[in-house]
Amino acid sequence: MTMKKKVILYTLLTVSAFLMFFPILYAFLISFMQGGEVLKGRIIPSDFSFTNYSAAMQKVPLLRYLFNSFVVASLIMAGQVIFCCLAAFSFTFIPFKGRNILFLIFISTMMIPWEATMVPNFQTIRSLGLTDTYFGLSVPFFAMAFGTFLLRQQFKTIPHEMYEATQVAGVSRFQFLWKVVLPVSKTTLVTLAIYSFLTAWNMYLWPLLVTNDEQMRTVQIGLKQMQSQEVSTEWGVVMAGAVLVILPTLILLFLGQKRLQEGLTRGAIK
Amino acid sequence: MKAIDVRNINKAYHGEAMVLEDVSFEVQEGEFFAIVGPSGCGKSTLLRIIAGLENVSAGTLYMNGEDMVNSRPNERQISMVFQNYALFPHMTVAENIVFGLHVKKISKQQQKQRCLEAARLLGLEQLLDRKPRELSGGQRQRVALGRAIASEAPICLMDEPLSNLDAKLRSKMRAEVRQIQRRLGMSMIYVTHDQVEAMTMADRIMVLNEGSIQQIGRPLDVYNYPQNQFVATFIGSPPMNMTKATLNGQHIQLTDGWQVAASGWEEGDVCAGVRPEHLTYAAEEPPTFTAAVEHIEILGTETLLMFRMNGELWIAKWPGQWDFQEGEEIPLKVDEEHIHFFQPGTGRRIDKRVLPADEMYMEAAL
Repeated sequence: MTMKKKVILYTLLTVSAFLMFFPILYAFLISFMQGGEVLKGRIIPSDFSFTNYSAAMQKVPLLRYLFNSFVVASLIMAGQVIFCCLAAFSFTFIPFKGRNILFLIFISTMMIPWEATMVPNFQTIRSLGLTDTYFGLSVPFFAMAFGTFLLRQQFKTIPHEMYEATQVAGVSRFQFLWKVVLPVSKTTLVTLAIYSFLTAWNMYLWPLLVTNDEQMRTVQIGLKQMQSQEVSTEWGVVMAGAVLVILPTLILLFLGQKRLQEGLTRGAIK
Repeated sequence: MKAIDVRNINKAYHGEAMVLEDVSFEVQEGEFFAIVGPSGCGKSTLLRIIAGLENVSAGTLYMNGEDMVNSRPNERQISMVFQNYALFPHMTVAENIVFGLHVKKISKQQQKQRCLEAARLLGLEQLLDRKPRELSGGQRQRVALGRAIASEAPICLMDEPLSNLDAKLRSKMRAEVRQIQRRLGMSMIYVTHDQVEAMTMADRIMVLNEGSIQQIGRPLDVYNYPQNQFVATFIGSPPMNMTKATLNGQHIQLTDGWQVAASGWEEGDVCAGVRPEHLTYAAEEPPTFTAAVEHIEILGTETLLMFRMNGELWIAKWPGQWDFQEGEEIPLKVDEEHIHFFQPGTGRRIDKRVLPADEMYMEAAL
């Protein structure tokens, strides 16, 4: 590649990256601005003080919300990884009658929008008395067709001879899953874990439904509360809250990305 | 003692066509038994049935004297080497070799010892800390073998273990596998589509085609006395030349001017076969017949001459280097004892000579 081409390419990449990232960057900058500055259309805040952040913390119990979200998202992540692994394993390695039909039905649930199942789910959770609990917030999301599908596709790339070799050696199915399938599928597992954590972190409607207690609310509801309290007057405070909320997800993404890349390149170079 | 005794095994998938039909054979302790056949003949299925990875539709299976037809693979005291080796990519060579030993309640110390022994036997000592992806094809093959050795199972099953290696390495590993099997005295069932492997490695071979046994015997017996047309053309490279021959009074007429005596012959028309190396050059003596060379391949140590015989392509294999022009007439000579006759319909061998009994030779070989 010539120098000229390189310059053009990198300029284009930088510009588009800046455009993509601008909303987040702008939100970050606004979080330091005082009320008037935002309306004046300024880009760079006059000074970088953390007054908005402390205000955001005081307006709503943001730390508590962050903690709740963290617990719920972690529970959902763990639940999904465990349940999807087990389901995908049996769909891949254990032959039983009607397996393919069952899998098709299982997969077709992906076409049913989550909102359609919300009412029955809510009734179940309420009659179990799980409203305002971490379990009520997370359990309905444990079984996920997408995750099962993703892992099944990954498990199918594992040669069947490996399973047979473990059978000949007398190693149990669970040990095969634990000692062979999971380590070999690490990359896909990390992908699924990150995906489910982020989805859970960004949940809004379900936590709103099953929580009434202030102590059990999650961050996304906190943000909405903040927005409705302030109504366009204190954008700085709202954005400070938003930055606090996206920070953990960004960190997770960065950490995960590194591991993902590691896993991908390891698989690519034979 | 019989290590494996297979009796009347049938296998059909979902009630469809038979994959294996009435298969019966036995393998002696310490014997190297090769199952050979073209792809799709059911040889891998048979091996997987013996391993317990596949169910039988009918029949029984005795291993070390016990009925094992319904027991799980790990109860059968076997080890198995797969075509793609089935190594675990995330484990080191050492971990791969001892894989599964912990289930058998074998102490860490002993595991290590077995691993080292297997590694020494296979020349893997330097590679124990590597991962499978850092190994060459031949080394991976050795690791798979190491796992079978470390398990110390009396019966070892191999499913085309050398087919992923290049020709040179394959012939080297052929000898190695054979030596190791001898040294450890394991009973081996070895599945292959490569008749050279079967011929060179096995104590006895079984030729399988379309799910039924064609012939069982010592490699040379199978080669010298093929029991039917399939075995005759499958075993041997280049394959046996075949042609139709007609009964003409007291003679069997193979082609114009080539006939052999057939006194007391009860069959009508037959198929006649001659191995390429038995079509020799008639230098001094009168030729059995002459043929026009259609194509010639000089391989250095030997020369393949191709010509037409009653419309069929025949190949003669002569030692040394011969140079003929295409179309040139060559005189060929065949000893009568080297002609094999088969029934045209069933393909069964017609022979007055009695085949040496398997059993006697088996015991002598062991």
